[in-house]
Amino acid sequence: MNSYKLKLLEGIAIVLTILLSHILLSLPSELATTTASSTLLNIVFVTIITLVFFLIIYKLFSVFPGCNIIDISEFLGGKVFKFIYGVCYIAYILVLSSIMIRLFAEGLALISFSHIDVDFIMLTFVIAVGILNFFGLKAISRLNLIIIPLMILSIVFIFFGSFGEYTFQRVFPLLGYGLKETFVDGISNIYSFSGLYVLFFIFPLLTKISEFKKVGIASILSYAFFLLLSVAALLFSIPQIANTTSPLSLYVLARQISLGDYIQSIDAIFLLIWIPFMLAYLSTNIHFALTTFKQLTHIKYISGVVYCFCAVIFVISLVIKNMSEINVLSNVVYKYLSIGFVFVLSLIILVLACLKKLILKLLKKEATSNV
Amino acid sequence: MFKKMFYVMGIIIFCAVAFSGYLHEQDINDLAYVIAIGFDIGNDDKLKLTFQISIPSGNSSGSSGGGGSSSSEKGVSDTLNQTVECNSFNSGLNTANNIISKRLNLSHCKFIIFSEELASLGILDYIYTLENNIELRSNCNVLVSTSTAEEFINSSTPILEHSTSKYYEIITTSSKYSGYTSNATLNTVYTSIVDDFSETSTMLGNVQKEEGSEDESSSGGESSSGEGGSSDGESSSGGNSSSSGQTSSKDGMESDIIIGGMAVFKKDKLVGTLSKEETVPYLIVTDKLKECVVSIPSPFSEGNYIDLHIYDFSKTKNSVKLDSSGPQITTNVTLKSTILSNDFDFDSSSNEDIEKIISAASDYFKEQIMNYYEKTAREFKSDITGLGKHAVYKFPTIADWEEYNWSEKFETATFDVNVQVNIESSYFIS
Repeated sequence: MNSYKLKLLEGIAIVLTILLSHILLSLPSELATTTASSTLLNIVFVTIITLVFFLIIYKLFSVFPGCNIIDISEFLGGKVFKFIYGVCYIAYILVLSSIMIRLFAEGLALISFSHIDVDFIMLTFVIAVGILNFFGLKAISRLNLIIIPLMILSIVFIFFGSFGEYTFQRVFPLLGYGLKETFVDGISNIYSFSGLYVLFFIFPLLTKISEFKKVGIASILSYAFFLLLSVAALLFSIPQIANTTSPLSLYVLARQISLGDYIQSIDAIFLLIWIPFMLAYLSTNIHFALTTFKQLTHIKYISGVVYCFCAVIFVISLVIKNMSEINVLSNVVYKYLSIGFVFVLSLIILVLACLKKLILKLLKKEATSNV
Repeated sequence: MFKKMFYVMGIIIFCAVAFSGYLHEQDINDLAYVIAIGFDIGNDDKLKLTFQISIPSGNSSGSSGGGGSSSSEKGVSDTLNQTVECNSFNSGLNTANNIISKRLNLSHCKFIIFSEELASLGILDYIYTLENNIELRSNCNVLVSTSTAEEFINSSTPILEHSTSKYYEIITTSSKYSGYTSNATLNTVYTSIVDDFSETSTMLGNVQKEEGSEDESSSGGESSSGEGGSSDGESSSGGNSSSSGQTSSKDGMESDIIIGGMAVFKKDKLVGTLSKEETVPYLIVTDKLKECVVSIPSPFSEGNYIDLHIYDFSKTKNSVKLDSSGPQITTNVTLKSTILSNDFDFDSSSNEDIEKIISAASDYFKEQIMNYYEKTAREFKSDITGLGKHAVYKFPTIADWEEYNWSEKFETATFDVNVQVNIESSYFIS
């Protein structure tokens, strides 16, 4: 399943697929709720922190060439720790996918499919994702390469298309709720980069190990740019953004766009792009859950597990009852779980594994010199 | 494998196409398209909603009905007006669906009309509800009618257009060349209601009844006819009205709708109206005016007027200085114009005469803008210009801005207006 190696662009496309999905859903409005008019400043600040974080993990990963985070956890704590950590990662990916699919399906039901049960919309997604994963990483990667430019185009188009509705002064007062709220409490907005968990798995999948740094930096900077565009468009267009709780932040902007008197409503075109994009996102997510599962169990035929994971995602998404539960899950549970799991725990594991390797190296050196 | 997949996909696509006609949720025949919605206060403080529904061409015998309370006969029309009394917008929509036996679709709604009475009580709840309606487009126009919204809708039959829907599209464009009203869309109304640094304004409309009867319109737009010496008064239809349609009501009187002037809100409550002439300074200071014709008092002979065509504006520069006495607002306006009046009182090739006209025009516009500022700040206490935008950046945090309370401080603002008029060219024949 992992025999296919990713080229530079494919690597960037995979990371961007995971990251950009958050922009499509409620992330821009959630960020604006936390930091109000200082959100743009906060995003720049959080991007710098994320870049520093990436450079650290890049240095740490380079100590373990050809390994992903699961391999490194095995090196650190043995097979039991690897199993526990791997299962946690699979659970994280499946729960995250369930929240996202539910959020997107709710948005679709609200906009276009008000007469259709949201369960059927989710089921359609899950079946499509199952079929796509059946074809493996190559098919997913190709889909990402097709859909990412369209997704980027839709974000840029929405930014410029909403220009007529902008009041640039809405970015003031520049410090929003205050200096502490923007730069200290606002650090928690780093969860908007939690899609970077893919980087922990993508390292051994790249054709050249040296491209890992390029993939990471290019993905972070381009994602930060598009996040800035989306949040700026939302901030400039809608006052008191704290009151906006749409499951699809970008759609709120997209429905404002009209091109002259003849094309007055183009929001359906955006949905046409966003639906396959969400398929690509879910497929990529499930692929990494499957990769981890294969590493844990050494199962020979992983194809059958695809449908099990799809069923798990579907069942978890059914458990969520309504939008208020989704809001709690995405604003609180997902936010702090991502920070803890992706940024803190992974970094600790990497640092400890490096220390272990260094100590083993020193011990080995000492043993050799003693001999 | 791929051959099998190909066959499966083929069967799915065939089924989807072949059976979609039988399994449809709804199609165009199940829908009725609303082109305007009127909001009035009904009996027992209930809400009275009037839906103006487009009748497909071929069926346009035209009628109007009162689902609950009122109706008025109309002549040949391409619309059906349905009035219902209800507790809320959505329940009213549901009732109307039931009465006309079709699902009302709001995706082609062009106008939302609030009666003056309802607007003075507050429109925030309705605006929130409408903004959340996925069918309604955010560029739908919002208007306050000095008569009831129901009467306004019943009177809105186009004269120069075949389609009422097209008529609604066209009447909003008149502001581009007349300067007598300013378009307000659902989105702009919503954003300025919830904004901290500006207030809401909408178009103002009313119904004028004729046929020798007294003019029933209570006139925001017409109240200041003659103000500033530039008004032309109101003619029956067309003429200098910003926009008008005409219909016969059941008492035999012809009724016109007139759109001109602006409704001024403080937060979500209507606090006053601006006449058509008072709308011109609003458009100038907010940089929304494209072109207009203005009559200024002639500096050469008392009682005469000179017509100027104002166009191609340089960007109006507004700045706000904050001190202990309140905000000090400076507005610098540069206007480009041509002289339209062909008058023997002055020589358009004389530099001296041109200078006199420039001076008179500058004084005129300065006075108009000052009057507009005084009225909005002192009388209405409402910053519809959005001058708060030029003050907000002086505050580092939201708490500081909220503590300053711009909305309250605006009442005590002092204004300094500088107008520079450039006359570019004059007559074709002199």
